[in-house]
Amino acid sequence: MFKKGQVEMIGLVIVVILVALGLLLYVKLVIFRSETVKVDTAYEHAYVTNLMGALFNVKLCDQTVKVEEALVSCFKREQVCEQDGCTYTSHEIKSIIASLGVKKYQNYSLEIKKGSESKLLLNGCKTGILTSTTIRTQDQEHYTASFRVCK
Amino acid sequence: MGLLNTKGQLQIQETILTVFIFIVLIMFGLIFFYRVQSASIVDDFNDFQKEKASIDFITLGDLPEFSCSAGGIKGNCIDAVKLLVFMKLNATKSFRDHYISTFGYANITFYQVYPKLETNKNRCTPNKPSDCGVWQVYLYQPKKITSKLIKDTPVSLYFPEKDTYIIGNLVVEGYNV
Repeated sequence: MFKKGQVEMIGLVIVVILVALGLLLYVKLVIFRSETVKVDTAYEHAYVTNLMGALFNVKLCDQTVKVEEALVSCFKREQVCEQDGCTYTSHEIKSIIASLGVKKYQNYSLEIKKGSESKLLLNGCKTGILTSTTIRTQDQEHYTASFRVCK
Repeated sequence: MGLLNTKGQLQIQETILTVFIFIVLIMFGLIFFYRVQSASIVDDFNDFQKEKASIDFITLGDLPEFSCSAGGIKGNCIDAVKLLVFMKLNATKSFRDHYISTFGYANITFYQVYPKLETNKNRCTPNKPSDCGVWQVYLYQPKKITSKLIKDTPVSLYFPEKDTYIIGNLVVEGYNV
C-alpha cells in the first residue's frame, strides 16, 4: 500500500507531466507551425485588372483602332488593319505584353463573349487570376472580355 | 497528540505546496501563451497593414486627381494632363500639406513603358510636357527611412490633346509603412 504522501507526489508528477505535454504541444502547433504561403488575391486581381485596362486602351493600326475594338472585330470575324481580325489582334496583344516585361506572369488567356457565343484569342491558361470587363460598342452592343493570367 | 498535530500540519503543508506549484505552473503557461499570442497578433496586424498599403498603392490611378473622364464618367485610364497639373499644384504649401496627410511618406512616379521611347528617362514637368517619359507626381521622404514598400502596376496613360493612349508603369515607394 502506498502512503498518503507518495500518492500526493504521484498526483503532482502527473499534473507536471500533463502541463509539460500541453506546453510542448502548444510550442509545436503555434511557434513551429509551417509558414503557409499567403497569396494576396485582392492585390493580384487589382494588378491584372490594371494590366487588362492598359492593354485594351492601346490603339493599333497607326493609332486608329483600340485593342478592345479590335477584339469586337475579331468576334464578328471582321478585318483589322486589312488583316484577319483575330490573328492580327492576338499577335499584337502578345507583342505588347512581351514588350511590357511582366515577369510575374508568363501565360495569358483572352476570351470575348456575347450571349452564349464566345471567341478565344489566347489560350495560355486554364487556371490563374481572372478578370473581366464589359466592352460597349458605338452601336450599343455589349461584349464581355475575360483576361486570365498564370505563371 | 503532539506527534499527530505535527503529522497533520506536515500534510497540510504538502497540500499547500502542491497547490502553490500547480498555480505557479499554470501562471507560467498563461504568461507564455499571452506573449506568443500577442506577438502573433502584432505580426498579423503588420501584414494586414502592408497588404492594405499595397492595394492602395496600385489603385492610385482610380483617384479623381489622376483618372481620366469623359462627360463626368470615369474612364479606365490616367490623364497625363492631370499629372502635370498635380505636379504644378504640388509646389504650393496648402496643396502639399493636404496630400502629405493623404499619401504620407511616399514617392509616386509614372514611367512610360509602351511604346518604348529612347528619351523615356527624361522627366516631364509642367514646363516640359513632351519628349519625356517619367512623371514624378509626388515625393515626400522622411529624414530617416526605416522600411520601404515598393509596388508597381501597369496603367493606361491618356494624352487628350493627341487622343492617344500609352502604357505606363506606376511605381509607388512607401516609406516607413
